[in-house]
Amino acid sequence: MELNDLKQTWSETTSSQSPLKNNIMDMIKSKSNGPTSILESKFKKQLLALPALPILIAVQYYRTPQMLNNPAIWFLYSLGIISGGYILYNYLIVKKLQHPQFAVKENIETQIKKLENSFTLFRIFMSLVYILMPIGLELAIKYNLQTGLEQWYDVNLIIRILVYAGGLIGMYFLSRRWFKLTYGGLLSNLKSLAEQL
Amino acid sequence: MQVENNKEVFVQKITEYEGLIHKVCHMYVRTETDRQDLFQEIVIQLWKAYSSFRNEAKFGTWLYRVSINTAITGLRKDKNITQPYEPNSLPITIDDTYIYKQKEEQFAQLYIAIELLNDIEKAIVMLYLEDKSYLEMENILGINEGTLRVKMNRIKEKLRQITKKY
Repeated sequence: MELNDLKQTWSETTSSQSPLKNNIMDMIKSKSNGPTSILESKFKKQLLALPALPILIAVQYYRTPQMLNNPAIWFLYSLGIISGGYILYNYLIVKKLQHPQFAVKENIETQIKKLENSFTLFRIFMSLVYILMPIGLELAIKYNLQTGLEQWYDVNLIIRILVYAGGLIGMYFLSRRWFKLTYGGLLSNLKSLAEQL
Repeated sequence: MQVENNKEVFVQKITEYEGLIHKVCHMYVRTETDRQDLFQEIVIQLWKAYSSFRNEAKFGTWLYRVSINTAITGLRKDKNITQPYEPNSLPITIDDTYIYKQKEEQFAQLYIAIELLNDIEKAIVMLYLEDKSYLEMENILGINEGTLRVKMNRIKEKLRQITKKY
C-alpha cells in the first residue's frame, strides 16, 4: 500500500466530517488555549498591575515627602519603569507571534529570532541593572548619601565586592531560569520544528 | 458595524473552507475531543490574523499556513502524542467482504505509519494527499520545491519501512 492509494480515501473521509458542535461565531468569542495566548494573558495581567507604581509614588510622597530624596528609592522606581517597558515589549512580541503572515518555515524562523532577541535584551537589561546597582551603592558610600542602607557602608570592601559578584552570578542563572520557565517550552518546540524543516 | 460585517464575511469564508481545517485536525490529533479543540483553536487564530490578511496570497493558502502553524506550534504537546490505533478511528467505510477487510488493514497500517512521522512530514503528507503541487506546497510551507521533492521521497521510503514492520 502506497501513499498514492490513500488519496481517494483521504478525500472521502475528511470531506464527510461530523458537523461542528459549536458554531464559528461562538468559537471566535472563546479564549485561545495556545501557549502564546497563555503567555499573552500573563503579560497582560502584569501590564495591568503597572499603574500601581505611580500610585505607590504618590502615596509615598503624601506620607513621607522626604523619602523621595532617597536615591535608592528612585533606583527602585526606575527599575520598575524599565521592567514595565520590558513586560510591554514581551507582550507585543507574544501578540505578534500569534499572527502568522508568512509561510510556515518563515514563521517558525521569525518566532525563534524574536524570542532569542527578547532573551538577549533581557540579559543586557539584567546585567546593566546589576552593574549599575553596585556602582550606585559605591557612589552613595563615597559621597555619604542618605539611602537607608547606611549599615552596608560599614561592611568591608572585599566582602562588598564578593556580594556584588555573587549577585551578578546569581542573576545570570536566575535570568536564564526565568526565561526558560517563561519561553523555554515554546522555544524548544520551535527549534525542534526548525530542525525538521 | 465594520467589525460585525468583517465577522460575517469571516464566518462565511470559514464555513466554506471548513473541510480544509478538518483535514489539518485529522492529520494532527486522533480523538474527536482533541479534534474539536484544535478546530476551535485554529478558528480563533484565523480570526486573530484575519484583520491582517490582505489577499496577497489565496485565501486557501493563507488558511493552510495559519492552520498548520497553529497545529504544530499552538498545540499542547501532550495532545500531540500518538495514540494507539483504534479501529473506530479509521475513517473508511467498512465492507464485510474479505477484500475490503484486507484493504482496511492496509489503510490502518499506513495511518499508523503517518502518525509516526514528525510534524513537518505530516504537513507535507497532508498537502500531498490533498493533491497540491510542489509549488503550492512551497507557498504554504516555505520549503523550496527541490527540498520538498527530496523530503517526499524520504517520507515515502520511511512509510514503506514502517508499514513493513507491522
